Amino acid sequence: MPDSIREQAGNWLNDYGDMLYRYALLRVRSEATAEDLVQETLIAGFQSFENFNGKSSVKTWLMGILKHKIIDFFRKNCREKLSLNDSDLSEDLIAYQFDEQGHWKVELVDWKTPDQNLCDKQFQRIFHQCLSRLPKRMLDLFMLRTIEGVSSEDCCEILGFGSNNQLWVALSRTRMKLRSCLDSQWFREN
Amino acid sequence: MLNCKQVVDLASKSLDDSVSWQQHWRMKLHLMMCSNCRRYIKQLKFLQKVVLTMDGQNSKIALSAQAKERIRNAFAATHIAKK
Repeated sequence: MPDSIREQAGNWLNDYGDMLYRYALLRVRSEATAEDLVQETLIAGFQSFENFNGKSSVKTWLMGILKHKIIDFFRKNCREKLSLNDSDLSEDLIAYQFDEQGHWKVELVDWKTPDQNLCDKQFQRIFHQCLSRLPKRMLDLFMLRTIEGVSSEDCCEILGFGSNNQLWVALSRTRMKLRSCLDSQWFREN
Repeated sequence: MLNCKQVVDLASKSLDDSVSWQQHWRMKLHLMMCSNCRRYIKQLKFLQKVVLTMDGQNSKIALSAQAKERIRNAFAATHIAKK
C-alpha cells in the first residue's frame, strides 16, 4: 500500500470521525456502540481501500461501510425472535384514543403551520425526547425501516418479526406514540 | 367500511410501502367523511418529513477526546499490521 494512502487514511478520523459518529449515534443511541462502529468503519475502510474506485467521495464510501456496520449491529443484537407485547403495540394509547368500534374518542388538535418547526432547535430537542421514550425495539424498527430505508423483508429478518403484517402494525403504533408525544409536549404547549 | 383505527394503521403502511388499490379507495372513502382521520394523516406526513430531514448532523455532538485517542490507536495498530 503506497504511503500516500496511509497518510490520507490517517486523516479520516479528523475529517469524517464526528460526522460518522453522529450518523451512528442517531441510529444506535449508545455512545459506546457508536464509537465502536466508527472505529470498525475506519479500519474496514483502510483494509479494503483497494476496492475504493474513486467514483464516489471517500466520505460517501465510508458512510456506505458504516451503514452496513449499523445493520450488522442490529442483526447481532436481535437474535431472539420477538413477540410484541402490549407496551410495544401501545394498547393503552389505543384504548385511550379509540372506542370499541375503532372510532376516535378524542378530537385531534390541528397542528398549525407545522413546517415552521422543522428548523427550530427546541422542537428538535422535544422530537428527540419523544423518540427516546419509544420502546427500544420499536425505535430500532423505526430507525431501520423509516430512517435507514432498509426493506420490510430485511427488517423482519434483522429484528425477528414473524410477518410483514406484524411489522406494519408495529410501525403504525410507533408513529401513533410519537404523534401523541409531540402533540402533548410541543403542539399543545406552543 | 373501515373504522378509524384501521385507517390509521393503513395510512402508516402507505407511508412505507404500497397498499392495494382496494385498500386505497376504502381509505379515501373513509377520509371523505372523517376529519379527525384526515388530521391524523396530515400529522403523520409531517412526522415523516421531520424524520427524513433528520440526519443527526446539525448538532455539536462529537467524538470525545478519549474515544478519538482509542480509535487512533486501534487504527495505528492496523496500519502496522498492514505494512
